[in-house]
Amino acid sequence: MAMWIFREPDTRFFMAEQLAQVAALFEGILPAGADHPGASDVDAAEYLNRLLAMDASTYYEIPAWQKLYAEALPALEAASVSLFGSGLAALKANEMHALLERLSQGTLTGMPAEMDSKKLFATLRSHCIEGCFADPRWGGNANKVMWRWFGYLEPAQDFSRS
Amino acid sequence: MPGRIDKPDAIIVGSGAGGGTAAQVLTQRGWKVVVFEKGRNRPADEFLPFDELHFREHKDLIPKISDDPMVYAGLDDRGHARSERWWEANMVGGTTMIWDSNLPRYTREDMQVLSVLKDPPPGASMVNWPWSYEEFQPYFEKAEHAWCVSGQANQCAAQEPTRAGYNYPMPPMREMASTDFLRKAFGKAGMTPYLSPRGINSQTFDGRPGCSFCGFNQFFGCAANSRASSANTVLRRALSTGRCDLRPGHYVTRLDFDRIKGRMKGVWYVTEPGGKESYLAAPLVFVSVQTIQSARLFLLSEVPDPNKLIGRYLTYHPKAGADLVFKKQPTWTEQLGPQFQPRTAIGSLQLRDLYVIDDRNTHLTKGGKFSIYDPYTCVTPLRQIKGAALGPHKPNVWGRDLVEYLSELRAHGGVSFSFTGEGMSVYDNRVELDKDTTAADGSTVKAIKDPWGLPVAKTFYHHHPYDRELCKYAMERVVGIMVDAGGELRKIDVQGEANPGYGHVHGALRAGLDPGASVVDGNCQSHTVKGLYVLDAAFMPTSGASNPSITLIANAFRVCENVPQP
Repeated sequence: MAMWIFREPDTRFFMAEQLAQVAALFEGILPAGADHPGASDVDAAEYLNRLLAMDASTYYEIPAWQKLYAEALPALEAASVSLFGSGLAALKANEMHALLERLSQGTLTGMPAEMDSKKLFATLRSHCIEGCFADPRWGGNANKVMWRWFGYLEPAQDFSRS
Repeated sequence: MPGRIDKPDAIIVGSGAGGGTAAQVLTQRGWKVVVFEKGRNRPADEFLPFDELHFREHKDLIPKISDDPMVYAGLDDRGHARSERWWEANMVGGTTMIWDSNLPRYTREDMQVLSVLKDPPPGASMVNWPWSYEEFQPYFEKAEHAWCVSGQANQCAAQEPTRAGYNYPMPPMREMASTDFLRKAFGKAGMTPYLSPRGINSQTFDGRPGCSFCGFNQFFGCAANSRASSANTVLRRALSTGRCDLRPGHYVTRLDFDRIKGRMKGVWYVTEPGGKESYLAAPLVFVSVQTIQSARLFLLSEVPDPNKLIGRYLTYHPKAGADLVFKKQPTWTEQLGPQFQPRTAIGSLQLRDLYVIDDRNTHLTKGGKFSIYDPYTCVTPLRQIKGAALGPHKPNVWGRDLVEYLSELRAHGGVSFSFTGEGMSVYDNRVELDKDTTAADGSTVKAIKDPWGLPVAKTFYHHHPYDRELCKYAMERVVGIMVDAGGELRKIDVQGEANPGYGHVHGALRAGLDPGASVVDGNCQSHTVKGLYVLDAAFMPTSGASNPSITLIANAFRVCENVPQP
């Protein structure tokens, strides 16, 4: 055995529409501002798109997450339409915040009865943070933008989108 | 190169802190030893590239909870929950390959705990250790030199006492940029934090480089070998004698002994799941495979236990933590000067001023110690940010709160405390072998077996009320001092009653002079099977209140230097 080598998966997990939904949810968890990057600035959703294309040999929870997202995204999309009249990807920031708040408190209506909303929220939050702050080799934290703003491994730098 | 040894003087089971130390001491005495290690050899390049997601989040270096967990019985003692084995790395060098290598000594207050805890609380079974700190002193010194501990004696009165003229083999790690601030703040309260003894090179030493402050310490392998491990210190020296036969990938399944004479004969082992058992004979066997697993091996081997003590008095240190931010302090940074650790530092300061509590406002007397870190610099980002909080009632923040948390951490100095306290020993806190059980609905829950087909360990554990009160008290004291210094509390965690398996672990094969009240004797030899010794923290009669490794290493020196040659 020797040095661990990261192998990018050959496929991606989400369809374009789903990827946009995940990106919208992640942006609600770590929203961008004029002076700081958000989840969308660093392709955090693409991180999950690749992670879920891997299997249990990378991490044992991946198969369970594949199932979870396949069931949760349509439910969240439907809840979004029901509450605000538009899908996740089209929600305004305050609407997304309200949706996530209900999800995190277990009060979002329309979710499948067997799905633990609080646990789903915790998983989304965890994956969003990984997409923002994990090593860029995993597909998020594009160009180390989040690390550079935050000051990890090098002094913190100002952020701008220009 | 050492060759194969077919007739060893002793077999050592486990190649970590205790086993590696035994290998050095016994081979230097001229003995021939075989070291069985369940895991494989993992050279330093396997820890590259540094990656928090792979190594820490995906727990690459510990047994997989999916097929090789332990089981926790929960607070009703009837549960059957899989639990992570956070501090059991199965590889050559054992858990010293991923440890934080914080190496403070246990002291008189730990070993003669009843001199401090004069009136143990109901339900606690506290005993003095059958050795004094003075007896341990020369072994601590040998341990600290063999394991290349950096540090500085006599920094303050509360520090572990050392003999006149003694010092660590190399100076302590550089200070963190927050050290001066913290010294002053605690000084106002009459307390003195000090630079901790670490098994990390502060400079080139013993053929290994000084620490590069890469930022990947606890739970990561050290790719530069700056951090001491069994593999790069004691085991390496044992192998260089030519009298140590290290066998990775060898899993000891049973101890074999003469039941009539009560004498050790050898061990059974397998080299792969489903493989045939093989046998190796030796008159002496030293077991050191982590507290819970050592107790499990005793149970699997049916070591005679007339007083039902094997697995009992298991102790976890009660733990507590707190994070604070100082809004008037800019981020601690290496830009303050080269004498400080950079941002990707490892810390830490130790604070031992509450080791003994002398406070009329509480009945608590035996306390514990703190490690003090800077949360921004010492913890890898996923771990830190997943725990983001803006106060005790605002945990796991997200949205604008998460942005505020990140901005605060980015701009202001902070401090993080990790408290290790004395844990009360309780007979019912124990290790058993997992077995089929009946669930509340009447269905059968099958015992979990490891990939080799043996039942996994099952733990039963309730932290005693003293443990939880102590954690609360200790955190309130330091948080109060930090608030006086301008700190704002961001997070506080205090030990709860349940413990599924996280933290320093000891006991379960308690040492003592009375065969009716202990499993191993004063030299850590089984009362019922002569020639069977225990060298990990399972021997500890009580938990003590510091990181346990250097004390178990010193004990391995004490035992192995005095064992008569067969």
